[in-house]
Amino acid sequence: MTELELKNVSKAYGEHVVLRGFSHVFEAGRVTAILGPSGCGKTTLLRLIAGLETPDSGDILGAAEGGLSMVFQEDRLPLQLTGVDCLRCVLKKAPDRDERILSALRALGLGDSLAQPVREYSGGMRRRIALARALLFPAPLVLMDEPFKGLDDATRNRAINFSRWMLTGRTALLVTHDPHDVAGLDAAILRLEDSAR
Amino acid sequence: MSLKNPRLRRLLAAAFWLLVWQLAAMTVGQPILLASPAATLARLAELVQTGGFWRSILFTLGHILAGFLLAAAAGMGLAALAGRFGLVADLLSPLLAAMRSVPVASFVIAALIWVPSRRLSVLIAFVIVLPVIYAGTLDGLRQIDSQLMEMARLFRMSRRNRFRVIVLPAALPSVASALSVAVGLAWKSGVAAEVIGIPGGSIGEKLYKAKVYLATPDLFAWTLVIVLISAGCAKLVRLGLKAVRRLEVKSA
Repeated sequence: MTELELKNVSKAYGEHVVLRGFSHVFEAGRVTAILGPSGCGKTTLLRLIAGLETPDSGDILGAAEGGLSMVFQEDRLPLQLTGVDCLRCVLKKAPDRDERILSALRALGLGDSLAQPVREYSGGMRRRIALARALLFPAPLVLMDEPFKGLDDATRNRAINFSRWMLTGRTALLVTHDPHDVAGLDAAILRLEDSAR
Repeated sequence: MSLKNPRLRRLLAAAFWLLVWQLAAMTVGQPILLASPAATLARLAELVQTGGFWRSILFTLGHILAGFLLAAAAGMGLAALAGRFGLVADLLSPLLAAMRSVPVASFVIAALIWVPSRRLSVLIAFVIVLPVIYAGTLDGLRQIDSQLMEMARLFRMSRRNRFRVIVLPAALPSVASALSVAVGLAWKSGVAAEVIGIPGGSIGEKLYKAKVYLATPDLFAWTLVIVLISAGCAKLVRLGLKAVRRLEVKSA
């Protein structure tokens, strides 16, 4: 299991300090919910761990082992592809690939819209494709930036249940503002404003 | 067919202008000043029966297409480099600005000092087409969604899929329009170069001789040939692009 540790990580954009000497050990094989007010550095923290940004100082240990996947703040889907193709193009060819994709889409309530391009999907449908992509990608570490944003209550519960099942045994970081997400995923809690600044 | 049919309307419009041309030629009454459509077609019918006609077409077609294809490859390659390295873009910018603004005639006369006139149209088509393809490709590359590219890197998407799923759909419209414009420019500039350089056995040479001998029906017939071949090349480019577009549809 991937243990993820941040040691004295600092990051600033010009004058604006986002993280100052932040340290934390994330529990391996469990979801940790990162809570805090807007602009406190939650997304920056995920981007640093993903290697999309480099810290000004400090160390990030364990993130690179075995790879990681991510639900970005934006959906980041190629709009001309169908939902299935969006997932195919990041998953290695395997005999059961399509079957896994289809059962994930069904579990997320997307079984009826497979033939249309993502361009024609609603915001909530796109969000679920982005979530399915991160969950199906075979990485031991999953970073999720408000993955259930824009979903209605019923769909949200469905997505949370599917995520809990797919995240079993994996280390995951969840940025959210909703206590239901934290409870639904049985997540440990990290309050960013306490420790980061 | 009713008048609502767009093909019929286009045909009627063309027939209208042919009629205007024929009436104008009859009014002028001197084929040396203005050859009629009938005289032009009659001359063309004579020309197609000569071996020299087809040899001239092959000569000019081969040279202009070579210049066009070389420029397309070089323009796309340089744009890819410039998109990646800002220094390359800065370095190329004044050179390509100069290539865009220097008149074809100046290029031709300067090139005649260095290049034998037989190769002239290759070089001229190349220098005229290169900046157009470069600018179109660079513009296309700038349309690529950087957030999607970041996603692709994070999910370790293969280079092939990155190209087909992200790069091609974003960049192709701009590259396609540059190629369509450039193929017409290649013909205009290439033939102009031949008229100045007069390489033996080229279409340009035939146009030059038509001018010298005041053979206006020849001039018109050859012009018609150039327009038709240029349109044919544009059609080929469109077909090529259609084939490339097929690559982007399916992802994996």
